[in-house]
Amino acid sequence: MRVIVADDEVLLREGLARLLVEAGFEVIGKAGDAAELLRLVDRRRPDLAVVDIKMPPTHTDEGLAAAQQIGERHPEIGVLVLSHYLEPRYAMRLLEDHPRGAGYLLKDRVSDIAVLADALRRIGDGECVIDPTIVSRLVARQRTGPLHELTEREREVLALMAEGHSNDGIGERLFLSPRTVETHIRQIFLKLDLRDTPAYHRRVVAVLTFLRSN
Amino acid sequence: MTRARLEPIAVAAVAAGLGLAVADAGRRAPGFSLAGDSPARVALGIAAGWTVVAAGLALRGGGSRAVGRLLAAGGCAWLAAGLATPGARLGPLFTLGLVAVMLAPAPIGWAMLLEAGDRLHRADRVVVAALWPALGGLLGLLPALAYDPIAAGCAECPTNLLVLADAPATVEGAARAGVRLGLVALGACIALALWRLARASPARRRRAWPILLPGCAYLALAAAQLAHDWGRGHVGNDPTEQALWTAQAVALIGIAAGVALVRAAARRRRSRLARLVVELGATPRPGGLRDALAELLGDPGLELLHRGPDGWIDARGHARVPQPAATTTLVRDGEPVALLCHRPGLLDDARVVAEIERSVRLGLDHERLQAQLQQQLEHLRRSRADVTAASEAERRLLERDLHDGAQQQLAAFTFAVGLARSRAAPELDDPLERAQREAQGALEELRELAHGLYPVALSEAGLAAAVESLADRRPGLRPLRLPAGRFAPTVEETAYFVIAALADRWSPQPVTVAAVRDGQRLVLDVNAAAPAPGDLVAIEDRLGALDGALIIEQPEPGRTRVTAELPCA
Repeated sequence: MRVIVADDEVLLREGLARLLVEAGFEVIGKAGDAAELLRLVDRRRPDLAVVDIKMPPTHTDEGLAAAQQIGERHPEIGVLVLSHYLEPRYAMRLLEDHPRGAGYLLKDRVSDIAVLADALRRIGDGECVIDPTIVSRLVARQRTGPLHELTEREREVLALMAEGHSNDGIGERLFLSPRTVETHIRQIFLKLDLRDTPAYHRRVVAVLTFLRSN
Repeated sequence: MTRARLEPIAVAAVAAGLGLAVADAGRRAPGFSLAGDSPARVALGIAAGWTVVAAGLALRGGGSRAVGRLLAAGGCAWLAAGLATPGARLGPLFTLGLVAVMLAPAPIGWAMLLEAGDRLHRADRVVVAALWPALGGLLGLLPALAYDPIAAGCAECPTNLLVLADAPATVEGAARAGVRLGLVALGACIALALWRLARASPARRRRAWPILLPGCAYLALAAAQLAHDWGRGHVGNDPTEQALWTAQAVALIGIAAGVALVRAAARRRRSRLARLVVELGATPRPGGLRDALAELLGDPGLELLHRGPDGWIDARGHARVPQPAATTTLVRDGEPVALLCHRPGLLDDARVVAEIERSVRLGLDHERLQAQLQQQLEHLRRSRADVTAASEAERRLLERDLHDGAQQQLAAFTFAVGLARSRAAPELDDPLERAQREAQGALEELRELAHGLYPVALSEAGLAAAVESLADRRPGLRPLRLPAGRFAPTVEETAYFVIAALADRWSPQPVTVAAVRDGQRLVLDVNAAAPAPGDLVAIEDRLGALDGALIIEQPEPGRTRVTAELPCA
């Protein structure tokens, strides 16, 4: 898969590019800020963009803004936002702006090549991937609202779904058959009232509901 | 005995003596003076002289020394004029009567000009300079020098001690000139005094008219007498003149009554001021003195400023720049202690100002000290707020340095280790994995440290997001209701600090947090199933820097409720 990397810190940009090459991705461009990233994306049409959340000029949320623009212009291109901030609301905003094929991971997480490759592949498949630390913090929150109706097991399934795991992956982790996982997921969609949501979009909306709840 | 105490006694003694001499002369030779042969009118004349002298002495003590002295002199001159009759027992008294026969209007006219204008302007000085030679010289001294009563046919008259030669022509010439000049000078004096009264400020007019109107009436009657004498060329003793004289006596008593009225008004004002002092003493509150003075002086917009270390301050200690147009300084021992900003002309009477200063002295001291204290407190609060803001900015900077420096470098390091792992021989995988894990652990700790220094959610998303983010890290902290809107950075930082500090003190007990905006205030409600934490000074300091407050309650044993309020307008 063809990837563009954007980070203003040259050490991280180069390190990340090498990791990606090592994991079997083709790095077709590197950018130091959001503007350059958007130019490169327009010209080279990659499959994926890996973007630092804070870039010049304001060093606040340029990465998220760039992800939103990529989502508007090229919805088929996946975006992985890397960050040092354990903030669910950043992940939430990313998913709201770029609902198809987006991920929010902590930077230290992606040094593990297997994790990086797995996340990127799933984003490439149009899924969404949220950092497990954020997911576990959200699970720990005392909940009100629609998630309150979910059973313990259904919540576990939803959390793994938020981390970006496929049905098979969820089954493996919870020692459940694929059929049982599917049943749980149907129940989740039912309880979250997602019957009218298009099938490809349901998982993202469910994850968003999960992120929003507190 | 000092001169100041001797003077009124001497004046009173002279006036008493003159009055008695006039009464004696009237009894011995009735019908020769302007009082005619009626003992009642003699008594009226003496009473007029005495009351004017008494009024002059009263005014002397009441603040207008010069006006008082002139009135006393006028009263004495009026009495002395009654001695220019054959009834005067002694030569000196008779001589004094001759000189003073038309003298009284001169000092009284001067007094009226002073009363109307506080000091003599150039025109006033010209008028006064004409009054004395006309009334005292041409109508008094000069005729006395040339009038020999014996030669003129008054056998019973005492000796005129001043006579140099009997020269009736000189007497007549001087008198004719005196009548003319005196009439002109008196007319000018009345016109000037009334003109000044009309142009004076309302406060001054209120105080001066009771004296000035009878005073001018007296001067006008004296002028009328001179006008009556115009054709004859000298002062006489016909029924018209006698009637005018009686009216003059009444006018003089009117002056004395006017002085009494003014004094009574001043006393009333003083007693109101005194009551005010008592009231202020009972309920001292900032600005109370201003309100009371505003009511007393009838100026709702009145402002009272106090002397601060570097300029004027109001009762609450705020620095103020007074409008220069209408201000009056209250001075004590040569030092300005307070400043009144008021309607133009309200306080251009030095007597009233001095009275105010005397009466409100205690209240003024009290309020000034309070105001200075308030100002110091305000300085202190401001510097505390500055220190807080500076330390907050410092923490934000540190968080950013940490993020852009150590966290990024360590992340780059984990990338390098990750790359090395995938390329290294299998037996190196274990140590490399451990290195990677430790670096990841360090990154996690750095992340929490940075969050503790300054949560990025606070500046980017506000209080609610920051408290949610804190709750993710601090088990047992449960946010209940938090305002979604944004507040000023200092308010958000302070509110977050208070919540984070309380959550930390109570760790690991369960704590609930709620915050609501209540009008101009943000109210934090933090509850824990635990006793109150001991040292809350840092929290109180932070709140105090924003004028906030902390309330600690114990709704039941083992439960604590902390309510923090801070202004958020």
